[in-house]
Amino acid sequence: MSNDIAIKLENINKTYVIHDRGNTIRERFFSLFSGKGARKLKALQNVNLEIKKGEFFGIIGRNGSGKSTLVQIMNEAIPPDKGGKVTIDGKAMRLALGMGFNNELTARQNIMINSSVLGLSIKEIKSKMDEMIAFAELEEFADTPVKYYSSGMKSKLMFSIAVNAEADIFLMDEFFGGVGDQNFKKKADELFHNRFVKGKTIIHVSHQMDSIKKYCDRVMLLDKGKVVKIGTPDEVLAEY
Amino acid sequence: MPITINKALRNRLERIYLFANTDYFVRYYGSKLGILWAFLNPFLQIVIYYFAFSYLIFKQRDTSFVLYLFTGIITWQFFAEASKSAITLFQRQRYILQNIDLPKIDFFWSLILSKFWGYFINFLIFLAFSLIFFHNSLSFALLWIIPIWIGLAMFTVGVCFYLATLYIFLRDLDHLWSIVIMAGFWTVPIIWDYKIIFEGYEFMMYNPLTAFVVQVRQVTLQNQMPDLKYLSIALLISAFIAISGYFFMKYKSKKALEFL
Repeated sequence: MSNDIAIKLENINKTYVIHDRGNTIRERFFSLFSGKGARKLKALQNVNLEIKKGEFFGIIGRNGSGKSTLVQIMNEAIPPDKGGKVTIDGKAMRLALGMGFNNELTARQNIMINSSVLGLSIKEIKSKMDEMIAFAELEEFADTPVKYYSSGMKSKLMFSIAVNAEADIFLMDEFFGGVGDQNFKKKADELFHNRFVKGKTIIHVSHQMDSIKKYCDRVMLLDKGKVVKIGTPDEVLAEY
Repeated sequence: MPITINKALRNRLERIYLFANTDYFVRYYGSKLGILWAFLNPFLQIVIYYFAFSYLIFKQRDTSFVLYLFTGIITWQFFAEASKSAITLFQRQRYILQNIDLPKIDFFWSLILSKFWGYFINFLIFLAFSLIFFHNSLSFALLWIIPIWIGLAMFTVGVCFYLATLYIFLRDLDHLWSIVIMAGFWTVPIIWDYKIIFEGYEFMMYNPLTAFVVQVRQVTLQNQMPDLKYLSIALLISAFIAISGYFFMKYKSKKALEFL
């Protein structure tokens, strides 16, 4: 792989095996006699792609088109089918707003755990703690367990934590654009631009065409697991 | 020359510590007495055993039997709690596994560390009781507790590797394991006298848990060196289970996220 490539996907297929027979021993026992087998679902078919370092790459497509599966393969969270090859140069990280909090913990404690997972040291987390809480506008509730938070408060907190992540490649799965009120969106947009757009490789999965158009250098359109088109935002959006 | 740890390794160790810390303390959040329960619980447990065995069920027993029982119970509890918690480990951490390619083994280190803290606090309470109320003495034999604990941790983490991985494909495992734990409690000399083993049932010492429970008592209650033959065998079996379990987990958990 040449030095300027961040992600290279070769011959990527992904087949999920759907077990209608269930997972318990009882269900499996009876399935032995019922003749029910496993169904196969092709989530991706023959995807080949090269993403350059520093490129802002968008992935669009309808629900169920394979976007999230592709991102998880890029992230090496799930393997492709045999014969497929994923080559990544650098540390990749998927950012999604549903990344999960421990509901019993406070905002501060969740910041500590989640930021550590995202690659920050304890010292770095402590130095950024107040900034993250202030950005999420949660100063009054910083020591309240997050189980008392609304979903909007949780999303703002997660956004505030995630933008401090340390990685070379960010895989943003419906991460950006849908958080908070207009004021927060504006603030988040500025931070997003300053923090991520400069020098990082970004894979941006979204249904929000305005952010795709605004940021992406190239866009890929997926449909039923197949690549329909790769090109500039204008070229691809014209086909969507 | 100063010892330097590179940033990635330091962050990794910090993350293991933070996970263990959270796992340990989260059970006390929300309760009025908080972390005090970590000390109160074993303390009250010993007091209850003391009264039970002094005045109630086994009146004929020597009261020091309380210490015998307590060492067995806390050692067993460490294994039982860690293994039960390991079963759903990947499921609990699926959000992290989905997003970041972290070494899966780190979740197991955190789990063992968290459960070991609980065990260690119980052990300190036991020592305090042993010295203050039973006027026992300590000797250098107590240092043998270190290899015993290492063996116990290896065995436990090995079993955890297998359980967490098998649960991906078999959801009945948590129910099955509860039965195994219940049966296991009676096959290990926790309540019954371990000397029975040496009177014709020596093969039971090849169960590492039995060996560790017996050796813990030997070094704490009798101030004796452990039986090196049985300790070595238990360490070897534990190392084998830990290593084989690790490779089993590594290769069989690749598709964990597809099933969980």
